[in-house]
Amino acid sequence: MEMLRLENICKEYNQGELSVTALNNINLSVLEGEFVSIMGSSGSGKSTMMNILGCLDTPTKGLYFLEGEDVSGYNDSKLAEVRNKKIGFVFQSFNLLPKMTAIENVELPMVYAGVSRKNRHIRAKEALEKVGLGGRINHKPNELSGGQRQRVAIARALVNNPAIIMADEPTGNLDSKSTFEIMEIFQRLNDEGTTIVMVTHEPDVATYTKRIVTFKDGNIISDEEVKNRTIFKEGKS
Amino acid sequence: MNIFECIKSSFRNVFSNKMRTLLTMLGIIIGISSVILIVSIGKGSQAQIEEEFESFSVGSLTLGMSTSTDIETRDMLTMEDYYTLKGIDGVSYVSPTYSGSNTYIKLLDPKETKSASVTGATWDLQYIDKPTILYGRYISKNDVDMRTKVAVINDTTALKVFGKCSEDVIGEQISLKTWKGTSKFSVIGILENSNASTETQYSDEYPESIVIPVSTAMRLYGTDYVTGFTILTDNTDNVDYMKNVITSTLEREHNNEDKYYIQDTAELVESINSILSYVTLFISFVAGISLLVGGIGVMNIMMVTVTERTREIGIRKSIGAKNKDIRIQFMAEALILTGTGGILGLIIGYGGALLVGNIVDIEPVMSISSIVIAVGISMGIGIVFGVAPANKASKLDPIECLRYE
Repeated sequence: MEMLRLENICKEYNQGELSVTALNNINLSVLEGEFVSIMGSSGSGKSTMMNILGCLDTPTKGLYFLEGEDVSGYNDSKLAEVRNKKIGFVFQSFNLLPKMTAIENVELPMVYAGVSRKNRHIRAKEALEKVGLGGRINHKPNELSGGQRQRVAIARALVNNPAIIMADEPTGNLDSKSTFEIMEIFQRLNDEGTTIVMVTHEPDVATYTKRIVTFKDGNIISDEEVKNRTIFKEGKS
Repeated sequence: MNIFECIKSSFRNVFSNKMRTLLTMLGIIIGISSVILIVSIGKGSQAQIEEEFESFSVGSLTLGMSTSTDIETRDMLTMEDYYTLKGIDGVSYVSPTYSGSNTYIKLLDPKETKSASVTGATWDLQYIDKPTILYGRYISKNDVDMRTKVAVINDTTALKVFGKCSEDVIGEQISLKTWKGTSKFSVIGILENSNASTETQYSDEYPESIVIPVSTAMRLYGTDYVTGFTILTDNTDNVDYMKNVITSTLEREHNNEDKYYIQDTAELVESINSILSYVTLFISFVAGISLLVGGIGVMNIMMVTVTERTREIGIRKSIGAKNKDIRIQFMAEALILTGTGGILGLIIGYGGALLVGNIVDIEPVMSISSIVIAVGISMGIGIVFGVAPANKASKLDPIECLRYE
């Protein structure tokens, strides 16, 4: 099944009288169960791409189908709903709310989705257990290591059963050990059927994924399957 | 996001920075507490004044000689005027009064005397003053006609003169000393002291109040004139008209002008009350300015909060918060801030009113309406000054917010 499809997506920014094209006629299709890396140097348009895929921004032109639904013309309120139900974000800087505990952070998307208190707690706990943090649910972000924080963020991204997880440089702030941990979790989630799109500029990290799409100057310059993929095996890493 | 969750998380945000919250609320607290203090003290003193004047019958008029002009013999009020006034349409009851001066009453210890305020009156006075008769009876028509030497005293006087206040006192004699000598009067009735509540602490300074038949009083003091009249009209809606009718009738009878003055208790109470409420209103207005300043303080802090929490707003939006959710969250925080300030102000204001009331001997009156208004105003300030920051927060672009450091 096709998870998302972009048709002739353009994004232009107006800076005074100057118009900057960030994305130029992008066509892309991601199927269910894929694990895609988006690569490119800074200014290549990959961040804009991420914002549009994550429904944080709307394209100037073109159509964006998410699970068959055209979301390119949605207003703020509908986009918020799509972000809530269909997209799970994982950011480079974790973006957890510092005053809340791990489980409260994970519960937050469900608060906006209107899930009952009891169900929220059960589901948030399950999600945290899934990323191996079942024992630290009541810790605040500043009591957790970087890797652990990112795992809380992944649990938060997962908890509303989104169609797709958007990860924006998820290992950018992590040491190599934590990077491996996070990528292992992503691979495991992907093996279980979760579709993941990840922006990264590290070729090493990209080899954990199944497909690499490379951007340059607002265009896709390559789109290829990963050969020699780094794969974690159960019990060794 | 449901409202309960919203309130809970707002409470947490508001009280996570206690010092700042307290300082922000201070303006509201000071404003509300001063309004409450002033209003409840104002209402308390108003109630107290009304209570004191309740001893005078509502709608009763007191007629006396005007003090500002020269009085000639023909101007003096007599018992004939009593019958004239009785005949006026709209006058329900009228009693002549003779206020005796320099009179002393002998107390329980026969060597001791105390000044007495002796009022000569007719039986009509009981329908005007409406005293509570504890024992015995009031002055009757027969007493006035026969100039009997009887007296109606009150319970405090009974205690001072006879050391008791009971049925037994009726028929006992009191001695009144005037410049003409000492006369004995039989007690025929005991009234409840209507001023007991306010008078107790000064009871030794106030003269003992005694009512005797007006005819007896005139003979006692050797005069043909009365001091004035106490009048009850049945036309309470048009007191000024009645005052005019009464004065002009007397002026016609005596063929004079501007010699009589009528005091109206309702008018007196009203004018004191209106002065009090103007003062209360004015001070409340000044206190209200501090509320306005407090409100601006709240807006200022909410603006700062929005900026400080830009990243949080971005995070919340990225995981599905709608603009509406963000707006409600910040509105709720402003409301909690001002509402809590309002409630604290209410408590402090009432506490202050009790304290001040204790010092100036006024019982503060706290009405439900002033509570509702105080909390309402502070919440209103929350809404008015919370809208701008909340709107600002809700319209922020999530991408910009997530980039914000």
